[in-house]
This record gives sequence, structure tokens and C-alpha cells, in this order.
Amino acid sequence: MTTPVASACLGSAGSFFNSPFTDWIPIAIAGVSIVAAVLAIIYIVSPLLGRQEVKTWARAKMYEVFFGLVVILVFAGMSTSICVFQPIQPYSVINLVPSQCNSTAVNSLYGLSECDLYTYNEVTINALNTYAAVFTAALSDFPKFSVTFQNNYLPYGVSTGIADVDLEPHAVVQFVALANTAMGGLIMLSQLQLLLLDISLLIFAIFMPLGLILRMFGITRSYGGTLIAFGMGIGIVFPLITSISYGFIDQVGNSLNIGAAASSFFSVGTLTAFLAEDVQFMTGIGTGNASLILSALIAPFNPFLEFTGLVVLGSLMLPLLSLTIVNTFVLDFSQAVGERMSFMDLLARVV
Amino acid sequence: MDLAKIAMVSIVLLAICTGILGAAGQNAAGQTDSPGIAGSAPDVTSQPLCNDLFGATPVLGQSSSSKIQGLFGTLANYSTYNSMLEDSLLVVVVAMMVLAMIYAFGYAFGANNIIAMAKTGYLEAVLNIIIIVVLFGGVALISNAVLFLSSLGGAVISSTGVSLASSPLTTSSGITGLHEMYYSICSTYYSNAETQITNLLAMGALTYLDSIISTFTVSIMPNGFGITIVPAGGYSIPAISPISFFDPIVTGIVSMEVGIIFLLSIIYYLFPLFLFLGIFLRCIPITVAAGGALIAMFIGFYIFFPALVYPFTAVSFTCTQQCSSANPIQHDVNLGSQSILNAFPFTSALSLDPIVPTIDYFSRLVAESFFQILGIIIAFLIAYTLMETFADLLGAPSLEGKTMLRNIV
Repeated sequence: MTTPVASACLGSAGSFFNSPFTDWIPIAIAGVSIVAAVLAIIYIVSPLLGRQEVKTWARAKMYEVFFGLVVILVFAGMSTSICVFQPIQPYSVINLVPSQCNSTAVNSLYGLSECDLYTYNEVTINALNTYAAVFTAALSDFPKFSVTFQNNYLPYGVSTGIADVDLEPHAVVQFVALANTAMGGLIMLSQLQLLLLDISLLIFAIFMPLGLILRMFGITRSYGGTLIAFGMGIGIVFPLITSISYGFIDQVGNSLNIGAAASSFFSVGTLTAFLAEDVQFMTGIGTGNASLILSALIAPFNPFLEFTGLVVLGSLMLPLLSLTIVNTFVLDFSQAVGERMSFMDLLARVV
Repeated sequence: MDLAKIAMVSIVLLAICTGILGAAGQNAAGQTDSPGIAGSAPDVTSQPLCNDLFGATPVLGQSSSSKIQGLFGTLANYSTYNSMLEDSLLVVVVAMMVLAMIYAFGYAFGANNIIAMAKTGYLEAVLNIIIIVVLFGGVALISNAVLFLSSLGGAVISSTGVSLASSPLTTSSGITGLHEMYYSICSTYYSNAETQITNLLAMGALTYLDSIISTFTVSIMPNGFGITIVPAGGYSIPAISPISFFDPIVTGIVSMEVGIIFLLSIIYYLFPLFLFLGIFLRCIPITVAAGGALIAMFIGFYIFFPALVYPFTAVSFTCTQQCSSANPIQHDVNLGSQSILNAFPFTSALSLDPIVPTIDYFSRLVAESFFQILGIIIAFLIAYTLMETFADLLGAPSLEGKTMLRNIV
């Protein structure tokens, strides 16, 4: 899978002085220079006006401005490290790289997290399509039968019978239909998560420099810190958690053969056997033990149950967990460097 | 002077903690049985999915053939992370050296805020050392803590009068390990999910009976002309409607239970990685918040979540009325034609007998599933709240102001 993300990441942060986003660097340096010059003037003039406390204040603010410059360089180095970090080798040591993403094209943390989530979405969508088609074809076309009993020895032409008895297990069909519908909606949410992951790099590249610059000025210092926390949370923590958790899920899915199980689910042989067991179970006819018949009837549904569990985890629980971790990080980090901000509250208000 | 006092207090605290936790670690390492939920040993059942995810346990007498355990087993083993703890200590030492230089810089230029920042950073570094030392000495206590919490939960549930059935892997002394606990929860939930599917299939048998009864016709046609009577044309087995109502609920319960199984596998294998990664990140001054969030997630979901879920899986509901231990729907179907006659409205043999145990069985099964879902919700809420609390405690502002942690350190 090709990942243009990696080159964009390097373009924006690795060569921090060449990409469009690094227009902020000259602005930041200009801002630092202006603020430092103003503070120097205040520092020089204040003793002449007999305001020693203003001189002390100016000196303290000068230290903060230079410290802000150091912070800019630190974050620039950190973002460069994140973008040049090659995750395949260390992740492979702990088996968190699925076979679909073990490629030289995946050469950054963003690329790996995108590939992991994309692989998960692809596998689940294909499996869901297969299950939906199989269930539609197999379980919805159950035969019906009619029985008429006519005995010529009965008077008055009396006959009895039953008509259009349906062998379809309605409750199971309804269960499968509901599950398929719910999973379709969950997978759609997962696609939204992929979209968020795609723009995480953009958020990082915009919010981080903006926050670093705003943090230098006294009025906007807290707001700048909040932007830094938001940029780091969405731009670093979210891809990191996604690459680890969805790498695990993809490996579990590959080990359980989710895709292959969907294809072989309810093959002709399986369907025939299922029908035979179903007739025995429904009518009580046959010599089979009811428990064994039931076990045979439920066996084809085990792969579907596993698939359902994987979708519920990957499309519902893990996104909530990932966003919770990002929110916790943003909450704590924003409180440390600026104003306390809850990412989840912001998202809830927007939604 | 302040720094000297802090250093002395830190050294004393370190010595005390190392001594206590080292002794506790040795005791925990030598302990084979831990207090668990008592119960008699029932029939042992194993689930293929649970075997694949967690590996069969020696209690079942099976050799482990878990695919997932083969891939990620090392992640669940604490000894894998010894080098990461050593690296974390190194990072802490480097951070303390840098902070010392920053302190000197601030002292030289009279920048009080930089001095305050350096002091806070130093205290954070001391806290990181304490955390690392605790983990070195007491990592075995984590499993025992989880088992102890689950025992507490089981005792609370037992005190309400609810009987605790034995899970497939309990022995007379209870659950003996964290791995058995995860396997037990997995097995319970997957068995429930399969049972719900089974009952949906059996529900189909009721529908089939209903179809036979309601389409039964009698034709009286002397000389090819006459009438056709459908005596039970409007008949419907009363149990079908209320049981059909549960179908969407059953779908949700089944999906949630199987999803929780996979969530537990992630917690079991990946969260130790998050713990040690969080400790490493917490030692770096810039990433303290990220490290604190990961450590808090471990505490909330690795320790408290399964410990709170397990007692709910060990609860069983007994029949209240005239139900049998067997699935009454299955029992009715196996009677074949006699079932039909029993359900036919005009026979004197008709009674509500096939219906009442059917409804009672279904309501018992759904109630049991509801109870377990309730347990999942309660466990999740508590784990999430604890995660937020510990994240605030261990996150970036952990030692600012008059916080409890600052007073302790």
C-alpha cells in the first residue's frame, strides 16, 4: 500500500524549514525578536522612570521568551524524530505489523497507523459483504412444503393437511439481519475514524507551530499551550495508539482467518448439512441426539460470532478507548502548558 | 537546603519501599494459591475461540495451541520489559541532571519561576524512581491484586444472597491465576452467546410448530364440492410474541459479549506494553502527560475491569417455577407429534405446561445475560472513572500546587 502520508510528514516537519507550514518559523523568529526588543527597551527605560519592579518584570519575561524559543526547537526536533521514525522493525519484533502492511512503502508512524486501520476496514467490509450475500441467498430461500392426506375410505371426501410450512429459522434470520445492519453502521464509523487519522497530520502541522508562536506572547500564552496539547494529542498520541491497537486486531483477524471463514461460510456442502440437521431438529424425526444436532446447527455460526466480536471491538470499543486516551492526554497536557481543554467535550459540542 | 531535605526524604522512602515490596514480591512469587471465589468443580468446557485467544490452560489438561498467544505471549510476560525499566531509570537520571542545570541557570539569573519548575521536575523524577522501583519489586503483585479484587466482588455478590456458580476453571480453592480468570470470562461469555443462538434456533422450532398448527386444514368435499376448514387459522403459540420481542436485545447482548472477549484479549496482551511504555514516557519531561495517561489506562482496565467483570460471570440463576434443567423448547420438539397434540387447542391434554417453562427459561436466560451486561457496564464505568482519576494524579500537573501526591512525595 502506498503512503503519501510519509512524504508529506517529512515534508512538513522533517525539513521543517522548507514546507509551507514552516512559514511560521520566520514569523516565530520575528515575533521573538520583536518581543525581546520591546522587553529590552522596557528594561532599559524603567530604571530611568524609577520603576524597579518593571525592570524585574521585563527580565523575567525575557527569560520566558528565550525559553519559548527553546521550546520551539525542542518540539521541532521531536516532530522531526516522529516523522523519521521507522516503525516496521521495532513493531515487527513484537508482531504488531500485519502482513498487509509489511512493506517498504510504510515508512512512518502515520503510514503504519493508516495502513493498519485501512486493512481492518477492508477486511471487515469484504467479510460483511460476503456474509450478507450468503445469508441473503441461503437463509432467505428456505423451502416450504405442504402435506395433504387423503384417504379414499374416509366418508364425504374428507382430507386433511398442512400448507406452506416454512422451514426457515425466522429468529436466526432476524438476528443475522440485525447484526449485519448494526455492523454496517459500525464499519461506517470506522471509516470516519480513518478520515480523522488522515487529517491528524494536518492538525499536527498547523496547530503545533501556531500554538508555539502564540505561547510566546503573554496574552495568548495559555491559548497557545492548549493548541500545542491538541496538536500533540491528535497528531502523535492518536496515531501511536491506533498503530498498536489495530496492528493487534489485524494480526488476530489474520490468525482467525476472518476473510477466508466468510468465504467458506455456508458453502453448498455446509448448507445441505445444515438443512438436514434443521429438518431433524424441527420435526423431531430422526435418531440424532438433540444436543448433537444443536451443536451441528450452531457450528456454522461460530465464524460469524467471531467476526461480530471483532467488528464490535474494532469499530466501537477501540475508537472510544483511543479517543479517551487522547482526551486524557489533552486534558492533562493542556492544563500544564495552557488552558485546560477537554477534547471530548469539544467534539460533543461540535457533533 | 530544601533540595537536601528532599533528597534525604527520597532516599529514606526508597529504602523503605524497596524493603517492603521486595519482601512482598518474594511472598507473592512463592504463593501458588490465592483467595478466589469458591465453588465446586463442574464439567470443564473449553471454547475454541478462547483457546485461540488465551491458550488452553493446564487445568483443562490440554496443551496450549493458541495462535494469538504464540504471537503476543511475550507482551503479556512482565519479564519482557526489564530492559525498558532500566532505560526508564537512565532517562530519569539524565532528566535529573538536566533539571539540576536548569535550576542552576534559574538561580543564577534570579528567575523564580524557572527555579519552581526545576523543583517540581525534580519531584516528578523522584516519583518516577519510586514507580519504577515498585514495579521492579512488586510486578507479581499485580496479578494478585486483580484476583483479590475479584474475590471482594464475589463476596459482595454472595452477601446479597445470590448464589455463585462455579466457572469452568475454578477448583476447590478458586481461580488460581490471572490467565485462568481471563479464560473463564471468555468461556462464560462465548457459551452464553452460543446458547442465545441455540435458543434462537429452537425458537424456529416453535415457529415451525405454530405454522403447522395454524395451517392445519380439514376439507370436506363430497362429490368434489364442499368446504375447507382451517380450525386453528388464527392460532398462534402465545410464547412466540414475547420471545420474539427479545430478538433485537439478544442480538445486542450476543454482539456485546463477543466484543468484550476480544477487548479482554487486547487488555491481556497489550496493556502491559502500555504500562511500561507509559512509565518510559513519564520519565521524559515533555511526555509526562502521555505517560500518565497510559499508566492510568493500565490501572483502570487491566486491574479493575476484569476483576469487576469476573464476579458477574460467576452468577447463575436457578429455575423458579416448573422448568427443567433441559431446554424446554428442545424438550418439546423432541416429543415430535406429541408436542403438536399437546399444543393443539382442542385437545384436553392442552395446558400451559409447554408454554410456562418456555417463557420461564427464556426470561431466566435473558435475565442472566442482562445481569452480565450490567456487570460489564458497571465495570467499565468504574474502570473509566479510575482511569481519569489516576491520569489526573499521574499526568502533567500531578505535583503542582497542594496536591495529595505532592504532600506524599
